[in-house]
Amino acid sequence: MNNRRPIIYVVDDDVSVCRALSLLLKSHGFKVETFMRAEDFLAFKHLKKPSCLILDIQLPDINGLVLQDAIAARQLMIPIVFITGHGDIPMSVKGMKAGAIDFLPKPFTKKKLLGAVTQAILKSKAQNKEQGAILKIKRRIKTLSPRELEVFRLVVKGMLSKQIAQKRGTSLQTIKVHRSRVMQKLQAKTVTELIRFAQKCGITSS
Amino acid sequence: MKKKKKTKKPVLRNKIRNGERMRLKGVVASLRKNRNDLKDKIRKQTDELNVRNGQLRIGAEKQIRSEAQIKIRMKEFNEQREELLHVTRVGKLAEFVSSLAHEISQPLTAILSYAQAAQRMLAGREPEIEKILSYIINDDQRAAEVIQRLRALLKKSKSEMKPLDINALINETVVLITTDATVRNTGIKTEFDTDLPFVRGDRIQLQQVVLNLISNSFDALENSQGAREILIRTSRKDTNTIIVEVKDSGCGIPTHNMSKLFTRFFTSKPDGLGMGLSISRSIVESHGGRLDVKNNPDRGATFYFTIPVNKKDA
Repeated sequence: MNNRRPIIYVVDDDVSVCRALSLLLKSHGFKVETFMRAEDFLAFKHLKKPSCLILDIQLPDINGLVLQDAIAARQLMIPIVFITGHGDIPMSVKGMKAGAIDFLPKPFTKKKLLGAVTQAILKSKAQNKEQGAILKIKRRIKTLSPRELEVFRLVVKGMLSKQIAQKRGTSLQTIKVHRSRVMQKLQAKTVTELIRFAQKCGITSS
Repeated sequence: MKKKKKTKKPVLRNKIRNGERMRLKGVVASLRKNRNDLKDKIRKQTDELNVRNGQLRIGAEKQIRSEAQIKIRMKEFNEQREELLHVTRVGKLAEFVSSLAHEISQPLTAILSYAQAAQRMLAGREPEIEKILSYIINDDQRAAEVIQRLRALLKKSKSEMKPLDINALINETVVLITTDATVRNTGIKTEFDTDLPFVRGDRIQLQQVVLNLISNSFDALENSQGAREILIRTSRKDTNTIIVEVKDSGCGIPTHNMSKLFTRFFTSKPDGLGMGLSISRSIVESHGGRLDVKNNPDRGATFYFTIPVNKKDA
């Protein structure tokens, strides 16, 4: 259970800001990791826990918005709360468009901070749940035989069993057997569900 | 005797009279002709004089008018110069305040969080101390409000983005700074690609950038021994981008300063604020371009910025 305790990452080049935010968040029961540079944050081995990143827009090595892109590119999926000492509106718009939870001008009260962090943790939990579900389906797909996988792809494409049989040059009965085994292995009750699984895992007919 | 004389006289007299009359007539005629000739001449000369006079009057009026025009132009010129310098000064002040606000907001953030963390940790055990902490929190927020008001006061005016001829804009800026160039004994040369499309930008802001780069070059050339010359070049970088270069043969930029050059508060001048290049870079970036610098292979430095072509003209 303790393992599920949310972790908050703080990236700010000011030692005192890092320390103060860390104290405040710890006093509210969060686990906190602080970083002075974006690079250090990227080098950190991230844990699979609900998490949130409190990120200063202006960093000495790279701009916070660039770090936001880098995080997305690494598929880290950590909701971001931006903090800034500049009243920079165009930047905040960019950050929000790229999926940030909130944008807090410094200095901010604990009420605002905790509000944003709570929202971020909720989003992170939902994302993790979704990730877990996708992983589960992917694991199930791996148990399919090459033939079954092919049938799965064609069914998802919208082909009827009869059409698949014609295309493969096999009997309708064989295809039906493959198909029911696919449904069984993937634990799908309907074809619609099957299609949803395929979409989630990015599986197409090719 | 008397009679004889009397009879002779009329004949002679008549003769004389006739001859005389003829002669006089001729004289009169020639006099009359002379008089008419003179009259003609006078009339002609008077006419000529009148024409001349008219021409002179027109010329004088023209001169008066052009003097007035020069005065108006001078006034406009000075106003433009003042406006640009004012905008530059205000811009520097705004940037200064904004940077100051940032510097102060860091410790304010820390103080606020420390105090709130302490409050939480006390958890009602020390009401007196908690009260003191709440005073600290209140005053922290009071300071934050002062900063916010300052920021609102100096909020940058909206930029007016219009299609602009970058060469014309540079020429205008060069004209505005000619006096300074003369005082500093520095020549400004331009090398323009005359076939450039329009760019899209805010006239005053871009003039500010060009002015800043030129005046930096002035400073770089201050103690230069060689020829004091600044070269401004425009060219097309690619289909969508124009590049403007400001090159001088001054002292160049020491390598250890290169990375800090565009950061706020960094200055190598004894009386500098360290705002000029930082503002210029943010202006260029807000136009979708890039401002950078390189040292020349021989001597001095070249500052260059890119700016996207106005979409309709691309």
